[in-house]
Amino acid sequence: MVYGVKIRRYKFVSGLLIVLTLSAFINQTAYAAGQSITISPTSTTKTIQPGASFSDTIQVINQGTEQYLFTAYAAPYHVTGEAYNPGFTRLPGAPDVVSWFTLPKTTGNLAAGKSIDLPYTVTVPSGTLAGGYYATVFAETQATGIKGVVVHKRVGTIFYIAVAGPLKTSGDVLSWRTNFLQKPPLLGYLRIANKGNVHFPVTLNISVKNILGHTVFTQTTVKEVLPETIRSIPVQWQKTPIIGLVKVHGNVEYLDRKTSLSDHYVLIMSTAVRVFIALVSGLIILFFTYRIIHSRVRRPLHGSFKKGR
Amino acid sequence: MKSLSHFRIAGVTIASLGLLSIPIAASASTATTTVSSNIGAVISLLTTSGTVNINATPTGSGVQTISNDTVTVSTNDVAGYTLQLAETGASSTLNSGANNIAASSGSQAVPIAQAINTWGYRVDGIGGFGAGPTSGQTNAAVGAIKFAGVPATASPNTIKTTATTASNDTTSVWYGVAVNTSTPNGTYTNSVTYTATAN
Repeated sequence: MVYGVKIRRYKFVSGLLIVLTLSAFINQTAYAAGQSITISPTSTTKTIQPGASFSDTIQVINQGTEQYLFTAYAAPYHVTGEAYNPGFTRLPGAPDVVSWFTLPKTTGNLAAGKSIDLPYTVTVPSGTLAGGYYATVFAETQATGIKGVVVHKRVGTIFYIAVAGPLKTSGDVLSWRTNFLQKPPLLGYLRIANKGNVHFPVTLNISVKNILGHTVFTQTTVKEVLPETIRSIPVQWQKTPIIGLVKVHGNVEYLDRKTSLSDHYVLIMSTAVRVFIALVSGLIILFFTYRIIHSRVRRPLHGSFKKGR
Repeated sequence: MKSLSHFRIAGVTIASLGLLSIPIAASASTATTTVSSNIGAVISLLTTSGTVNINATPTGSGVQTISNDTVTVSTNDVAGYTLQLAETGASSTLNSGANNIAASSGSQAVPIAQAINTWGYRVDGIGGFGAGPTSGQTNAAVGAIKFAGVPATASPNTIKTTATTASNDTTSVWYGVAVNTSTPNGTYTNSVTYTATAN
């Protein structure tokens, strides 16, 4: 009887443990603690006739644990320098692309785990010259704090709009560079120029092979290059070994062209490895220096010994 | 004799069943279905709080408080992302009514040690800030660690950029204020904006 009661208790406890474990997994939330704002897509590319319009939606998602108010609005988009630092103010003389955007919903209250679709319409004015035009639609959290440094967060969808007409597409690869001796991470840069009046995408495919010919890293990146700009596209391999000789190989695709890039050899040596090699080299030099000095000191003693006989 | 006939019957039955199981039609029709999944590109920006408090209790000679904001970005866009910091509005000062604490006159490229009655930001390892590491402090002696003023809305500073996708990629932004007793008491506020866009 006592034995039977023990068995029942064991079964109950085991069952309870199983249920608790399972419920921990079932109820586990994927939301990050804090205030999070997400937008999708990250960019939109469209070709459109002057006087025409197109409509679609942008999704804003709250993947955090806090509810917040947000606003949505269009802003200009331009880039500065070969590193393509984005700017969201209208450049002098630039067309007012923001006025092309209609956003029926410009505010919202987004609870944790919820999303909202923001419809938009882009209407290109008649008579707009052919070429590339750029803007960003932002979703921005509205801060409610009243003290300290109050933080707003905004994420944007970049619009690459080609207005149809006599479009001129022209571009060239200017340079492909990697330094032979590098510390981790491995870095390379492709510079490409857009000499036309409309943007085009560039696809850079890179593979890195070790001395045995095994591929240890691959990277494919797609970047838009805006008209009358030069873009420096970085290649970065974060998880480089602390020492190694590798070959960087790749190709670039743009404007219906596929161009192979020259192979580059890179000797990777971390700071620690360089220090170690320097120390070992120093010790070797000291050792041989000592040997040379020591052998010169001993030679006169041998000569005087011979004279004495 | 009897068992032999039983055996024959069984054999015929099995053979018949085998014949019946052979498909009569020699041809079979097939259909293919293509399964496709369109994975949308997303970019998200997370901070653990909507405000960063850099509270200070000043002394005559001045104290410095430094506090941290962790900004987390995730994106599956293969172009990577750029994270920028700028003022939200026109004011660069910490304001409390008619009183204000001026922004540091340093810049991200050339930051400076924090002067008394100024505030600013820094991010270890970028611009002229140096490698750090920066650590938080409250009402400590004003140190030599360098800060910059938060840039104007129209001229945001890039504080992080990646070459490819990112999952929970964090950037620590440190805010510091240095004040002495010439700064009137009050709740001082400034609003900054983090912007994350795909490259």
